[in-house]
This record gives sequence, structure tokens and C-alpha cells, in this order.
Amino acid sequence: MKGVTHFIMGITVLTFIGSVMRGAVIENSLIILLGGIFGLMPDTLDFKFLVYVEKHDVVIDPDPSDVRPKEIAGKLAEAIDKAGTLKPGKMVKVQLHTMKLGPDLWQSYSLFFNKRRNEVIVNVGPHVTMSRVPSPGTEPPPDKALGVAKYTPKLIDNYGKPTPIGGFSGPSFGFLKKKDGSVEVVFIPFHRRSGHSLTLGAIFALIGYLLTGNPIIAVAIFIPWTFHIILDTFGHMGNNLFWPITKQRTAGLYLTSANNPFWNPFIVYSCMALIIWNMNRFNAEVSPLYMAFEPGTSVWLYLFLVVVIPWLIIGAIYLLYKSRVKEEKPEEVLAPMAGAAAQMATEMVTEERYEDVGERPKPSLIARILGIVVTAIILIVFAMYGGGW
Amino acid sequence: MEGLIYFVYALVGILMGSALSILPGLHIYSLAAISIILFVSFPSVDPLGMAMVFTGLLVAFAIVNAVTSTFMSTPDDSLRYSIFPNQKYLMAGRGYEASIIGGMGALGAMLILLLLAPFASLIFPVFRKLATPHMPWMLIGCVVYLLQTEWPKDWGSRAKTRFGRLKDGWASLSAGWLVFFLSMMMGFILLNMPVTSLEKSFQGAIMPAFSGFVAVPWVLTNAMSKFKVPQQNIKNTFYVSKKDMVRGTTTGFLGGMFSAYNPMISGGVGGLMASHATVTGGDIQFMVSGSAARFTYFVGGFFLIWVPFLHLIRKGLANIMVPIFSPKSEAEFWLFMAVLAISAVIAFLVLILVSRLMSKIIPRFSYRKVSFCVLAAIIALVLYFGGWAGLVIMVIATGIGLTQIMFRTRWANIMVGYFFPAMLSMAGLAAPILKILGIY
Repeated sequence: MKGVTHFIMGITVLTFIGSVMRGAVIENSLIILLGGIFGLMPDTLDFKFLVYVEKHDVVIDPDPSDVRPKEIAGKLAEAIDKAGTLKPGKMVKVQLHTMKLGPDLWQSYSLFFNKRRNEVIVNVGPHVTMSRVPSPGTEPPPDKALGVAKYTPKLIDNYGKPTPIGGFSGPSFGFLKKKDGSVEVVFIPFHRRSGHSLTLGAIFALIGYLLTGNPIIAVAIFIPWTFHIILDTFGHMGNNLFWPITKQRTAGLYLTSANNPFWNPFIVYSCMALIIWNMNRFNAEVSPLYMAFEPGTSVWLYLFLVVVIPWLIIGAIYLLYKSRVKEEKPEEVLAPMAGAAAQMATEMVTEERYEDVGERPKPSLIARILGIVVTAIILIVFAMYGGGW
Repeated sequence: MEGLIYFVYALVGILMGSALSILPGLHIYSLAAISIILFVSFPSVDPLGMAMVFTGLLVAFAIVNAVTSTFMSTPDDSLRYSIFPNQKYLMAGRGYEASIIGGMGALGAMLILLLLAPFASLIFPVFRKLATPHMPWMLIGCVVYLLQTEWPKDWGSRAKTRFGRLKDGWASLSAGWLVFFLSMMMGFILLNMPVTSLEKSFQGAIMPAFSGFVAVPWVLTNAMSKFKVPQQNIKNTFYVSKKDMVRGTTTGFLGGMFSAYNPMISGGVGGLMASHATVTGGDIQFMVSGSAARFTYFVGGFFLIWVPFLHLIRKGLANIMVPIFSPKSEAEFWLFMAVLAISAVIAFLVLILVSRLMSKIIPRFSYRKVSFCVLAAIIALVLYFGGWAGLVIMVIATGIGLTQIMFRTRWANIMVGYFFPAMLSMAGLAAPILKILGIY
């Protein structure tokens, strides 16, 4: 989920806690902001600290003036082969760098693991902007656009799609040796490990308590942290819940993706609705002047009117729009990728993408429904008993 | 027929606002100062008529001022959110298109405001009742969010050691925090100490600070970059998808209204937060939402004072208008809405004309010379409003603004930093810092 979604979710869960909200209203207490800070903290740790302390076994830093896709593919295949020789549980980590050409111009390339043919495929694309808009006519000639290299072990790649590398900083990959002899591709291995564990959340909460002696501080740290992990579990990547006891991250529930343009606004909106509900509930204890509706109003009726109905309307409009309007292609500053590079990329991707879908270790439907039910139960418990805490 | 005179007043405001908007570096606070001069110069004018002049002035500024930001690259703080795609378009010979796409975003925001108007007196009083006791944590929360969500801009450190990589990554982050801190210190001083004469204290301190934070650093970097504006292509038709328009406008409106409602949160900050929440992407959505956020921030802030049963005074122009005219009836609200809608359409037409003119004129001039002329205009305005003290404030603020550009940190750090002391005051936390600084 996006940072703002985690931030507001952290604040939302704390608005259920009576002492936090009463403190905010009566004493201008800022404890509630710990919800936002620690709701976002797992990603802050991962992308501002852990990304830099990750140790790489192989660093691939291509020269933009002389890109050699075959060499890149070769180094990746070599890393996979090396991982195949390691003890189970060990990993070879590879960092791939981007190729910056100008203030907002990068040389793009992508990599793909073709499991059927045991090949690493590297495609060099056109120059792209930070928002991945390609520049026409900058595609390399066909003999310099493609690099293929063979690897030996059986590869497990849960992603199953090419990874485009353009602007910002490049991704890292871990090749993890499994007990059955296969090698699993782990995308950005530093992410969602220690920084996304319940144990680290508990350690932060303990530190907060020891520093202040206030148990509410510990709650204001641990609960938003936990909700970050819960929200992330709804995605594909999952978390490593009990680090350092557990070593690897588990698969997510595959209910949504981190950048989903529907779920992110939906959660942010729903959180805002719940914050408003709780504001009214606790404001009423201070002064009726700060109260907008009767505190006895059913929360279910409120959520139905304020959240369900508007989002049903938005959903209906969206579906209507989708059914009536064909795919629109915005005319950005630079035209979309065209020619041989586009064709090659499309052909190579689609065939494999569908083939790989079946291999993804998606959790069972029951587990996925259970994920939502558990979250709902936690929120209901907060709503019912949080006022007295 | 009697009501028509108010549209004439608004038209006067639009014409004045359009002419002033083309002046590069003119900040909304300068516009507020001009509004005061207007009122003092014409005391016999009907107060409601003067309010309509203000409306036209504000709408024209919110829409037409985008021209200077696209063609002369002197964006005000609320435009920094969307300026990069505009500049890219200008470099691709599509400045006119960028300008019009932005204008369409503003018109879209106007449409949403019209749709919201019948329900405004139901919705906003509810927010006001509920949010008032929570304002300190809500505002400080926005600042915390902005500081926590700035990501490193090292583009993948090549350093061999972990410490080296950490240092590279944290270079821009620590510079961002430094910019926030310096801006905050400036805010503590300027918002709590009279550095210029009393009658000019509002314009004399804030306007030079904002010129230094935003306009001057950009003009200086433009002048140094030897950038030549390419020939501009004026197309009569161009394609913007419905999806980009709807998503961009909605996002911008939400962000702009959030900033308009909450004190000390600029349109850019609100727009940034809304774009995160709605996962906005791509240059067109960015430009549309940026303009919609800017329009809603300026106009929406003014709109709140007209809403029946709300009468919420937010942002500069509403504060200036209150001693002159205070809206009381529902009829006045609907008159305002009608004037607002027509003013937005007229301002959009002016934007088309001015953008065409700029597209033809700007490539013929040396960008460096234009930049120096802009710099001279800004200095003249600062000297007029703030005197020599204002100029010193501008120079110091320019240093902070240049640090932000050099380290590619988030510009919003400057904005929220400047107003952070006021937020701390709301939470009762400013006094100890003021004591340390010797101000309190």
C-alpha cells in the first residue's frame, strides 16, 4: 500500500483508543501522531536504512554508452547457477543499477526469467523519463537489444513478468537455494523482512514504554505497526512476521497490489470516515459544540451511508465507464514505445506471463477470506472496547 | 437586471487579475496587497461590488498565472507541485498545450465546486464542528507525513561500503530536513518579530520570503542553465483522455480543498498528499491535478467565507475582505457562485489568448535576458513592499530555496517549515522555542 494509506491507517486505529483521543481534544496531545509515524515506519526502515546495508554478491552497473545485454544476462545466470551450489537457505544477492542519461532521462532495460527454457532474457529498450514514458527512435538496433543466457537449476519466480528498469534506483534480486534443490527468485530481498516483523514492532513498543513509562505509548507504536503488516499481507509480497526466528518472508494474500488505484483511495477514504466517527464520539464527551451527530448513532448505519453507498456509486460509474470506453492512450510528451522493441517485448512477455500464473503460490481462498475477517474482527474489538482504554 | 452590475465588477477584477498574473514573480500575497490599495482608492464602491472585483481578481490569478509558470518558469509555491511536466512540455515545444491542459484542470475543479455548492452548507459545518479541537495534531501530522515520506534521491548509490551508500542516500534527505529547519527558524522570526514597518508588516515580510524561497532560485537557475526555449507549436486540438481528466481533476480538487479548509497548508502540500492517496501518475494527470489543486486552494479558501451557516475565514483574500464586506445571505452565496463560474470561463479564454501570445513571443527572446528581467521585476516588487529589510529577507530565503534545488529535496519542506511555528503555537508548544530564540 502507499505511504499515505499506511500513515492514515495508523492514525485511524489510534482514534479508537479513548485516552489518546481525549488527550488530543483536551490537552492538544500529539501521541496520536505516533500512529502515523509507526504506521509508516516499516517502509521508512526498509527504504531509508536497510536498502543501504544490504550486502550484494554481484553488482551490475551497465555503461549507458555501451549496453551489453548478453553480459547482463550472463552475470544473472551465473548468479543463479552459483545459488544452485549453495546450502539450502543461503542466497546470492545481485544489485542492478539504472543508467541515467540526463535530468529526466534514463536508458531502459528489462529482465525476465524464462523458466521453461531456463534462460535469463535481458531486453534493452528506449530512453525513458522517470514516469517511464519512452522516447521514440532511441531503441537500440536489434543485435544490441537482446541478451540471453542459460542457467541450470530449477527456478521459482513468483512474479512471472519482466522487471522493467528505468528511472530512480535499480532493483536487487536474491537467488535463494531451497531444500528441494531449486532456486527461488526473491525480489528486493531487503524489503519486508526484519523491518516488517512483529518482533521489531514489539521491540520499538518496549523501547517507547521504557523511555516514557506510559503503556499507551507502547500501544500507539505497536498497533499501527501491526496494521502496516496486516495491510501489506493483503498484497503479493507478504512479510517476515517473526524475524529473527523465521528467516524468509511468506507469500501475501494476493487480494490487492501496493499501487492499486482503487484500494488505496478506498482505504484512505474509509479511514477518514472512521476518524470522523471517532472524533464525534470523543468530542461529545468534551462539549456538544464539537459534536456533529448523535453519539448513539449506529456505526453500521453510518458506515453504510458514508462509505458503502458512495463507493458503490463510484464502482458503478467505473464499471460503466470501462464497458463503454475503449482503452485510451494518453499523448504524453514522448510517444509510446514503437517498432521492433515494442513488438519483441510484447511477444516475449505475454506468452510467458500466462504460463506462469498457475505456478504462483497463491494462498487458498479460505486463507484469503480469513485475512479480511481477522482484520475486521480487530477493528470491531477496537471499536467496542477501545473507548475505555 | 440589477445583479448584472456585479458581473461587470467581476469582469474588472478578471482584467486586472489577468494583467497582474502575467507579471512574473507576483505572489498571491502581493495580489492581496493590491486588493487593499483598490479598496482604499475607491471607498464609494458598493462593498458587494468590491467583493466581486476580488472574486474576478482571484479567479484570474488562479487560472492565468499558470502562463508565467509555464513560459517564464517562475512558479509560486502552490505551482511547484506541477511545474516539472510543464517545463518538459515547454522544452518539447508544447508549452501552449501544457498551459491549456492546466486550465482545463482548473475548469474541472470549478465544475466540482459548483456541484458541491448546494451541499456545502451541510457538509462544511460538520467538518468544522468535528475538526476544530483536533486541528493541532491534524496540521502537525501533515508536516510529519511530508518529512517521513521524502525518499532518498541517490539514483542507486555506487559506493562500495554500506556506510558510503547510507551517506549517499541520506545526502538529499538530510538536506531536506535542513531546509525544513532553516525555513522553520525563519518562520519563528518573521511571524513573531516586526522586521519591517508596522503598516507593511504583512506584505513586507511574507512576500519577500516567498519570493526568495520560490521565485528567485528558479530564475537564477534558469539564468545559469543557458536554456533556450524552442519554437512553440500552437495546436488547436490535442488529446487528453477522460480518465486523466477525471482522475487529475478529482485528485487536485480533493488536495486543494483540504488545503483550503486547513490553515497553513498550501495547495501544493494538499495536492501532493491527495496524489499519493489516489495513486496519480503520468505527466498529464500531474498537470491537471496540479492546476485543479491550485485553483481549489485559492478559490476554495475564498468560497468558504460565502457558504451559508459556515462563514469560515480562510486564506489571505478572505481575511482582507472581511472588514470591507461580510457575506450574510444565501442569495449572496448564489450570486457569488454565478460570478465565480462565469469568471472561471472568461479567465480560461484569457488563458488561451495569453498562452498563444506567449508561445509566439517567448522563443524570440533570450531566456537568460528574460530571466534577468524577471529577477529585476521581483527585486523591484520586494523593494516596493518590503524595503531594504524585505530585500535582506529575500536574499536569506533565496539561500534556503537554492539549497532545496541543489539537493533535489522536496520543496514542500520550505512551505511547511515556514508555517510550522504557527502550528506549534496552536498546540501550545512554540513558547519554549521562542524563549530560546529570545523572541518571547
